[in-house]
This record gives sequence, C-alpha cells and structure tokens, in this order.
Amino acid sequence: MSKTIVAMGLPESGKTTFLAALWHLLTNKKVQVRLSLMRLAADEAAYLRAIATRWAQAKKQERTFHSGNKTVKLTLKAEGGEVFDLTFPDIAGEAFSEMWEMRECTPTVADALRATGVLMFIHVDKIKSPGWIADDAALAEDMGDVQADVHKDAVGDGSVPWKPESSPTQVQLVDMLRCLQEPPLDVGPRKLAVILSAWDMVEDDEVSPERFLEMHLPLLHQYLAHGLNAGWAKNIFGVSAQGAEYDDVNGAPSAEADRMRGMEVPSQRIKVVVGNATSHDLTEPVNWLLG
Amino acid sequence: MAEEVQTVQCDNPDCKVAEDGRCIEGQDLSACTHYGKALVIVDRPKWTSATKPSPGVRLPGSEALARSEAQALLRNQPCNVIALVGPFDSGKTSLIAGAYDLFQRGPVGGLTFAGSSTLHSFERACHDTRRASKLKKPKMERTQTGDATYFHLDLVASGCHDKRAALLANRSGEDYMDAQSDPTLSNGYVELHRADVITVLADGERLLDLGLRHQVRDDICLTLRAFQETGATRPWQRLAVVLTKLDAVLKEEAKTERAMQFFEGIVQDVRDQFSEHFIEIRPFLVAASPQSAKAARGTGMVDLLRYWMTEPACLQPAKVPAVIPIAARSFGRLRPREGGPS
Repeated sequence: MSKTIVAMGLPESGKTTFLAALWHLLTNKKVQVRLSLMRLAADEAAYLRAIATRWAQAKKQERTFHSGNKTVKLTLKAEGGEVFDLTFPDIAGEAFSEMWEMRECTPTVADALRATGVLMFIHVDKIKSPGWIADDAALAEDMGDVQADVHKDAVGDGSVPWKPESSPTQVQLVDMLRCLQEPPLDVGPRKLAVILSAWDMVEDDEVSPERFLEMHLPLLHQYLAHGLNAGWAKNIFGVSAQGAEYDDVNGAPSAEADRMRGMEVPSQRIKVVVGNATSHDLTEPVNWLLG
Repeated sequence: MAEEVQTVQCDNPDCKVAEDGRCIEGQDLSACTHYGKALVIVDRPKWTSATKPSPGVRLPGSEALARSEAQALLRNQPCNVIALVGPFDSGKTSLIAGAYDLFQRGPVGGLTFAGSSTLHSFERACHDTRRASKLKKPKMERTQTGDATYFHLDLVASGCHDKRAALLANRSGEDYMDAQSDPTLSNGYVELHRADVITVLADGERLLDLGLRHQVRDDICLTLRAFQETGATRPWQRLAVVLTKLDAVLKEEAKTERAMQFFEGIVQDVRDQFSEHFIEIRPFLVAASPQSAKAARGTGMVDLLRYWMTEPACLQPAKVPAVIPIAARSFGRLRPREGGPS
C-alpha cells in the first residue's frame, strides 16, 4: 500500500529538519514510536543520511532551495502491523512563497500538493505579524512622545511599495490552504497537521499549541475553525525537532548545540506536544495523518 | 627541411574555397576578409533546465473580483453585497481595508473570518496603513475608475456554522458624483441594484471646513436622489450614513461639536428625503485608519460591519398559503391519496 503526505511551509519553516530528525528516530530505535521503519533502503536514502548526519551533529540544515527538491519514500509499519510506503516530498519553501506571490507552481509541486495528508510547518520564531502605523502613533503618544502625531506633514521618504512577500505570515498560510481547496489542487477532504516548529523557543510560555496559534496567528486560527471545507480534519502539534538552536553552516559551535551533542540519546532532543501531552515521538503527526 | 604546405582555409563555413579555389562571396582571395582564417567550431549551447521554460500550474487568483466573478459567488453561497458610495478621498478604501484588518487580531463583533478570495487586493489596500510601508502616516490608494470591483470576505456569525460572504463593491468616487449631473449613469452601477446595504460616506475632515461641509451634504443627498430617480436602489435595502475620519473631527476640538451637529443634520435630511425608499437608515461614526491618536484604529468599524452583515431584508422567506382552485368537474376535485404512489 502506498500513502503520500506533503510537507508545506514558507522558507525556513523546519520541513527538512523534521525529515532529518524523523529519519534518525526511525533508524536508531532509541525511543518508542508509533511507526517503525521496515527497510533501510529508501528513495533518496543518501539525502536522508546526509541531513540526518547534520542533525545528529547539531548543525543547521542547508536550505532546500540550494540542495534541490527531494522526494523521499520510506517503507513503514504502523502499530497495527500495516505496512505501507510513505512518500514525502521535501519541497523548498520558495515554491510555496511563489504560490502566494505569483499564483502558480510547477507541475511537480502541484502533484505533491494533491496528497490527502498535509503537514503545514510554521516556525514559531519567524512569524511576520501585521503592524499598523496608527497603533504605533497611539502607543508613542501614550508614552509622551511629542513626535507621535502622525498627522504632521512629514511623509516618510523611502516608503516601500506593496509586494506580496511583505504580507503577514498568517495571510500567506490562509491563502495556501485556500489553494488546496480549489481547482486545480482540490482533491476533496484531507487531514491537516499544523506543525509549530522550534517549539522549544516558546515552551516557557506554557501555552498549548492551539492557544499559541490563537494568540500569534489569529487569522489562521479563525480560518482553521471555520474556513476549511466540510470533511477536513485538523490537529495542531508543537514540535521541537532540534531541541535547541543548532550551529550555523559556517558558524562557530554554540553552547546550546554543544548541550544537544552532549545528550546520550539524540532522539531525546525531539519534543512533540499535542494538547497537554508531550513525547519524543516525531512519528505522531505522520501517524495521525495516516490514521 | 620539409616544404611548408599552406592549408587553404576560410572561416566562412559555407565557403568551398578549399575544394574549388573560389570565394563564395565572389571576391579576390587576397581581398576576402574570411580567407585564410581557421573555421572556428563553437559548441551549441546546452539547453539547461534552468533556462527551459516549464509550464506553471495556475492557481486561483487573489485580486478583487470582476462583476462576473462576483455573480458566480452570489450564485454559490449566501452573500451580503455592500455598495460604498462617496466622493474621491472620502474613505471608501479605508473602510474596506479596515473591515478586513479587524480580523488580523481575532474574531470581532460575533463574526469570525472564514476565508477570502481577494487577499492580494486586501493586502495591497492595507499596505499603506501598515508599518511595512515605512510611511510615517497612513494613506490610502486611490480607487481606479471603471466598473466596480468586489472585495470578498467569508464570515461566520457566532452560533452559526454556515459562511456568509461580504462582497464590498468599490467604485471610484468620480463615477458616483457624475450621477448627480447625469442620473441615468446610475443604471449602469449594478452593485446598487443588488446591494443589501448602501453605505454613503461623509468625509469628517470636510465637515470641519465651513465651506466644504455643505458640499458633503449636497453630495450625499443629490447622489441618493439620482439613484432614487432612476430606480437604481430597492426599497428593501438598508442605508448606512457613515462619518469617516472621526479622528480628524475629534482632533479639532474647537470644531468637533459643530461638525458632529452638522453630521446629525445630514442624517436628518437623509431621513426626511429617503426614509420611504429604504427599509432602515442608520448613522455610524468611524475611524478606520486614523491619522492621529484621537481615535483608536477601527473605531466604529465593528458596529458598521455587523450592520453590513445583517440578514438581508430581500431574502426573508415569506410563507404564502397555497390556494388550490376548486375545479368545476368532480374528477378535477379528486386528490392523490397520502402515501400513495405518485
């Protein structure tokens, strides 16, 4: 049996890191997971090994934009004994930006986006929120800034004309989901797993992934509640696939990355939060999508 | 020493001088600029995938809808059409952008965002009020002349499951003002015929000016009269009379009360003249995108949005009792047995 899921998200949203950690988890068997690897042989196995090696070394992944889109295929076994091939295209985030900006995608990306299981990645530290000039002025006036009156005739030199990429993250993601529900990408009801990546950066806030989404991406939160077509199912996961900030490609080793390298079982760097439950099982979102 | 053999050659690939001793261009060999030079063979450039044009898959558009697209939407789901009427720079685009931007921070007034097919146009309209524009004061782009375009928002009211679309018709102020001198023009403004709520704008900044304020009243009353004379509006429609740029009115404290009273006078005039032509007339005070801190961003927008999304009066289903004519012949008075074969 063959099952396909697609990982989508804007650039640097954590898609490749997720795949690297997933491969490590499946091949090392140090923590209990819902899905297990049946065969080491996999399409793009060399790529999987390369990204998993970087992950184990606590080094940041190279951008998929430079390394090219990859479609990996894993043979997995579910808890119930069912064996299936999982196809997982690792598509550069630029392809998704282009969908918003240019209103088109390549046929390969379009084919991948017709999967019935969707992982939508959002990096919690790279959310571009809208901000308003009027709000800034009101805040400045509250703080006693006499320059706060924006009605003064000083029109800003160097104003920036609108470009699609300047739009808030939540608007771009809403549009991405809308595209999945209209021709030519519509395939009927799907399952959507929202992955809030780099969850370790916000876990001190002690809010659930759902609440985080409501607080920081309210337009998307509303859309997920009321905008998805009938039959769609959604679940929201907080995922820390790295555990901490890793070393840059050419950067010096950081203390945080050293701490991760120092862990005896690298799989324990991984943290997956659903509701109030926490585990190291990165297969949980995938398993939910396939269920 | 071996005798040096001179090879006959030409860099023109079509020239056969080496075979027949004649220049293909008919020139004396010593005068030909190609003769004696080696033919240089250059590899044909490889057609790389980077330069190969690949047909992209077109995705749904995200710009404001044309009339035909708006009509398709009207056929497919419940919609409230809102026509925004006002002269140039009275704040039509601000109201549209302000309504959309309310949802960037969560549900408002019992309404929840459930989608939009015009996100590019909304974002473009909002841009100059946002920090990303790097402007020091918010401004609004001018509405292009031509047929009205429609901004689309899907909304869900609290306690409901079904979406209802808001279609916000945007037409240039000049078009509406032209109807004052040629009322027949309004026959072509199709958004007026289908509108559930017609929203006329009174520019708050102009109300502060003793000279311009009368023009504001005339623009509203004469435009509505032009609509009414040509039958462009319908008696089941709601009318919102909106004072825009409330922040400017509040900022000029010495003139605020006078401007507010003048606006109340305009509303009274509208009621006196047009009450019988609309099912309801309501005033609103709004600061959609304030340029001073005298009013918070979005002041009055929630009430206006809720008014826009009121259940349309034209679509109220009425229960009409069935009247079955009594047939003259006995056979015609027979009725099919309940539960029997049809």
